[in-house]
Amino acid sequence: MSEAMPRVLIVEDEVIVALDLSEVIEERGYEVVGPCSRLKQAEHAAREAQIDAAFLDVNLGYGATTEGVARILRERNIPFAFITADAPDGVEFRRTGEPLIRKPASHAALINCLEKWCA
Amino acid sequence: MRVSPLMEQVPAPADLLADPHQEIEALKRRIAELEAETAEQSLRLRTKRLKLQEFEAMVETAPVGILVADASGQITFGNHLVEEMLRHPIHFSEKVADYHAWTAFDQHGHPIDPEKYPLARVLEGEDYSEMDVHYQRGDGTKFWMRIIGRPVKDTEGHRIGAAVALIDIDAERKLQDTQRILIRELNHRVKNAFSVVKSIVNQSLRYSTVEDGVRRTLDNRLDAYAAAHGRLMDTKWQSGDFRDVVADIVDRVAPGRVHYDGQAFQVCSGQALAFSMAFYELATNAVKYGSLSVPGGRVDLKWEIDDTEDTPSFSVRWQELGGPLVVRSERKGFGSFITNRAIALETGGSVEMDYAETGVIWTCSMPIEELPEDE
Repeated sequence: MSEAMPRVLIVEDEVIVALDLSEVIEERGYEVVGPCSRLKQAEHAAREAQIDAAFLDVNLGYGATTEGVARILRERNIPFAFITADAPDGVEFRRTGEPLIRKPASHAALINCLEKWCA
Repeated sequence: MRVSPLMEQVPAPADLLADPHQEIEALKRRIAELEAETAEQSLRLRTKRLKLQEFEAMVETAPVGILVADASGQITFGNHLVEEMLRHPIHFSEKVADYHAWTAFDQHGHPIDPEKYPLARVLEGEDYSEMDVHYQRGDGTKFWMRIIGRPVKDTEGHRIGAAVALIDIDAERKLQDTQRILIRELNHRVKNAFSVVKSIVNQSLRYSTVEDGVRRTLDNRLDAYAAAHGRLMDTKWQSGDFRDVVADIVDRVAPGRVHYDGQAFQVCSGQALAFSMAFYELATNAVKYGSLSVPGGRVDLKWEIDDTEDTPSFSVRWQELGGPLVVRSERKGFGSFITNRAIALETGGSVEMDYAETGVIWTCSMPIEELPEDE
């Protein structure tokens, strides 16, 4: 990883949670992209923004999921983790090896992922 | 045309000559008999025709579409409701392979194979066949329809065809869909609520003077409660298996160090939440001060159902082993409130805490009540 702060995309539809996650991640010396709470916004950021990693809340409400966002990130080879309050086997589009953090997300789990990716 | 056998019994002309008078009388009797028989036959015919009319009226007033096929698969009959529902004339398909003229689709939008239709399946030998399809009507609109097929048999019980009932279930389907979306949205909101609460606590305590340990304890307690909720949501809020309740908590707080075992047992949602919180408190306490605070220490967690008494009961025993010498705690904090009073209140049972020198033993015994019926 270069000298510049690694940039982390956060997709989360609960605004308070999104801001809290952002702060935790920023405190550890990462730069947050977003947070995005809507699908369109998130897909755009995943496609266009300069990012090194991402955390994706699986369900964005009213049936919208981050399946498409994950697909874009895979194409760009950007590491990411899903965050969900659902049962771990409930995320059909998750591929083996892709980390899943169960909600409420513990800060330690987030940081662990980041350290592994950005080591 | 078959000749009636009665005609054959008419005497030959040679016999007539023997005693014409007598023979004429005999003929008259035969004619009278014949007339009576014909009257009887026409009455029978009339009754049959009436029966058929009754049947047709029945079929036409039935609130479902009805189609009948003969043994070869040829559709031979359909009531007016079929056309009303499907908004196209009945296809009198000649054989099963021609059923593709009927435009039904499965839930993924794939057309139904002709031989998969209940009519075809019953003709193939099934006694009952049911299928929900998304049907494209003659005017292009679509609706959900249930097809139910039964065989048609002759008086000897041989299968001579099949009949299907077509039922409009569109309203029912739409209601189910709405309900599914509502429940999913509600679950999503409830699950997220825990994350939101945690974030509020985090943000509120962030720049305060509250020590970090308090924040972490609060955080972890909320996690334990949220995990139990998550589990219940996965089971539609009815009840939870006791083993899952245990595993969710102890495998997280002290992985591999709590040895648990017991019979399958369903606890209702309130009890599942209460036990989750209690095990969280017992486990964190054991990690901080009890047997799990030293290497080699462990916890045995056993539960069993006792149904030998009039009122069956369920008992749980948490026993710490291999830890430091136990010092009785007189502190009445949130933890002891949860492991004692809250559990007793929620389960209607009794709780005991034994500060044995070799390790804390916590037991709970509760009467088993019938769980609410699954809907």
